[in-house]
Amino acid sequence: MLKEFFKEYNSLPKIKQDIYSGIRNHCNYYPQFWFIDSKYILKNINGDIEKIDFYWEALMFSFLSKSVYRCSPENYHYCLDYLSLQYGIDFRFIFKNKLQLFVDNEFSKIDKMSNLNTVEYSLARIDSYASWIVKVIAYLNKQCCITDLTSRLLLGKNDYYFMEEFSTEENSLSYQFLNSYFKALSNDR
Amino acid sequence: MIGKFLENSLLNNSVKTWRGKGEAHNKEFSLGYIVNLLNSYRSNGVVYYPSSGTDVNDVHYVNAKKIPEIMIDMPNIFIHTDAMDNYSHFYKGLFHPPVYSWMEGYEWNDDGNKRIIINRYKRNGLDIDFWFIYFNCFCNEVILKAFLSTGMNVDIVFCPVDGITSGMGAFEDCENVPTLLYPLISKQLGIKYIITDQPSKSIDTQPSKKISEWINNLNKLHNDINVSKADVDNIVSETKEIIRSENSFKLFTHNNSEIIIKKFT
Repeated sequence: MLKEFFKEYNSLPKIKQDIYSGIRNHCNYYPQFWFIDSKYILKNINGDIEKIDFYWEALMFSFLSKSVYRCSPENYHYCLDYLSLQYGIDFRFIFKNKLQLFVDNEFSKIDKMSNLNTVEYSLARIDSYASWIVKVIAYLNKQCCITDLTSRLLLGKNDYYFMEEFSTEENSLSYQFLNSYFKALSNDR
Repeated sequence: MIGKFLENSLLNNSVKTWRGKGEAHNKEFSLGYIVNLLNSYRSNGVVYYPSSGTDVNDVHYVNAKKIPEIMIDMPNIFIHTDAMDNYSHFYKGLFHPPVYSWMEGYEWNDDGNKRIIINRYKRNGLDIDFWFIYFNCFCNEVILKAFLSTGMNVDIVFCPVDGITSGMGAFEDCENVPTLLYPLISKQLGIKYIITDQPSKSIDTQPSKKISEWINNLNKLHNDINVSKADVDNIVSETKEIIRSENSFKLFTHNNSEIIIKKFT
């Protein structure tokens, strides 16, 4: 499941490393950032709406990195080592923005710029997205963590910076994802 | 005991003043203060990493959570030595957030490159701390002598990469004792585990002159040590047996080494 994903994840456009430019709350040490916008996605999916699944996964994986950093520091280095050795992926390679700023804004822009309906498509699949990232968490938990990662990540609800990743607007995609994510995470415990 | 060991490792040096770090960076501390500070710390297990360079994988991986075969849950004293000058690398940071937080630190130097850096860190998320003691520009054997003369126990020796010659036992200004021979002093040092990755080929290619030199150096460490060529031959064949046996397993570290555990009971 992860091998193909990471191959594609590694090809996301890297941007110049600058830890002092507004990334104040998820500064993984020596972070590497990637950045994409609606134009980039529109160009890359080439009309195939199913291809946005990858971008959701990429955003969720980046969000997972930030979450482990915030909520489970004792497992962060082990995830970093494990993913690097198994998949050649750098766990510090994260999206240089909040998850909500992407899914709540950029998908709407895509819909306006094309005849695709990515917001509706995403909403219909939000549970399966949440299920995907919870499977990744369970995998890391089993392979390399020294404490229960799932339980630790559930504590994210109490973390201000963690919650900043999501909108408080109930109709927003990020809010919907947050609910699905915590539901799936709780069920997995 | 750890304080006494530290005092002993400095016996030949006249400068005794330590500088504080962080908030205490302008303050000076006596050796007595450092010795008392370390003596008052309750040890859960001591890990020694000879010729460590700037690698800190022992701090990450040498614990019962990662290696259940080790019966020490979370060792909390890590002693590193290296004959090379790694000071500049050290200050780029070896322990990063979010995994570790620096708590306090002290440093001693002899006006040259020799330095002892002592830091206490917290393991975030686990809320436990540990001391990390780094002997910069010290031969491993100087530290071994200090261990032996103070009767300090070293629970675990961590020596990946080669464990025989490269780095550990091949420095021209030291009276080298390769970690391959550490099992011969395991009783005196109280070693419970040696974690290493020694390839058989590397053992086989050592010239006999070199081995004689190592035996000589080993016997000079302490009066209680009296190692013969036959002892070395035994330990070499035992090590090869461990390499061949199933008592080895893979542990993922940055260099993807195959780590072999040797247990001494």
